[in-house]
Formats: sequence, C-alpha cells, structure tokens
Amino acid sequence: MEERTTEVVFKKETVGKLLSLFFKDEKTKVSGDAVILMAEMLKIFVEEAARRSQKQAAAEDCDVVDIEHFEKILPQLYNSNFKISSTLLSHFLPVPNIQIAADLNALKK
Amino acid sequence: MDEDFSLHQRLKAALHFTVGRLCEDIGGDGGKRFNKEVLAAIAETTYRQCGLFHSHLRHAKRTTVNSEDVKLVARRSTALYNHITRRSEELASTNQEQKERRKKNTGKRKSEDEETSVKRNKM
Repeated sequence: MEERTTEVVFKKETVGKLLSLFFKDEKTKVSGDAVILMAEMLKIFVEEAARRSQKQAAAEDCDVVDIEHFEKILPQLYNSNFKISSTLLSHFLPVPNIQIAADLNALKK
Repeated sequence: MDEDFSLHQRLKAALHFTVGRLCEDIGGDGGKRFNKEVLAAIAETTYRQCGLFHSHLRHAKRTTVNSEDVKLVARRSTALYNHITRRSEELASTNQEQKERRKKNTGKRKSEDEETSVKRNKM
C-alpha cells in the first residue's frame, strides 16, 4: 500500500456544509475554526470506532473487520469519549434497542 | 425539500469517502481490513454523530457557533476535551500570526505608497 504524504481529514467544506444543513432552519452559522474542530472530532470518532472494531475482530480471531464487530463496540464507544444520554443513543444508532439495552446492562456488571 | 435530501446524500457520500480512507490506513496499521458493509455502517453512524453534535451545538445562544461551543461539546471526555482545546489553541495562534503578517504587509504597503507619492511630488 502506498504511503500517504498528507493526513486524511474530513474536508472543511464538507463538514461546514453538513452543519449548515443541520442548522438550516435555525439561521445559525458556524465559525471557520469551529468547523475545523468539528472535523477533528469526527475524525477522532471514526478512528476510535475503527480501532475498537478492529480489536473486537482480533478478540474473535477474525481476519476481516465486519459490521458485527462494529455493532458490539458501539455502546463502549458512546460510553467513553462520546457520552450521550441513553434516549439519544437509541434514537441515533442503527442497531435494535434490545441489543443496546443488553450491551449496556452487560457493561454495568 | 428534495434539494435538501440530495444535498444530504451528496454530503453523506463525501463523508463515506473520507471514512473509507481513514479506515484503509487503520486497516493497514492494525493488519485487519474493513469490509464494505462495516465501512458503510461507520459512515452512516458518523453522519448521525454530526447530527448529535448539532443537537448539542444548537444550545449556543449566539447566531454564530464558535470554538468555545465546540469545546463544550467535547468536555464529556477529558481526553477528547484536552485534545480539542490544544487544537483550538493552535488555530488561535495561527490566526494571530496571520493577522500580524497582514498588518506588517499593510504597513509596508502604506510606507511604499508614501515613498511613491513623495517621489511624484519631487518630479
């Protein structure tokens, strides 16, 4: 695999447009620096999600990281760096609520 | 409404592209690659995370969201907060440097203009 010469980041334009779209009805703007910081947060989010999923795959002795590994680490991901309330969690995650509840219960033990 | 939908789709695709590249690097690092399905799932979740960030940011009372507001969102985790604060300080000092450079150049230009006008007067 070729070595990258530049760092992979979320483009400022993409993040800016996305945030503007979410804020559309509120007429709120986002400063240039805030967009850069947001892009950074999203990058960290992806990196954490990816690395945790990879570790999960390793724990299961799998050669390829797949969606099941990712789904398993989601509750941990949110509980660590990206803490949000459980109601928001269930609203936004692509996994069924039952699974999340079970995972969260397992974490509490 | 349809316009918004297709714009969301295009931006999602842009996110997906970067997610793919980030995971490609991590795949190489950790010796385990990510399949297409999981990349799509991570990209989708990242898009939703953006929505989550938005729902936190909208509580800023001003019309323009700034760095301080983003730092507040990050404060839920010490490590993340420290990282983002450092990055924010880097940006602030870069901005400061740029401002000072611009001032210097404006100052230079002003004195050059003065020289030119003095020369013209002499002629």
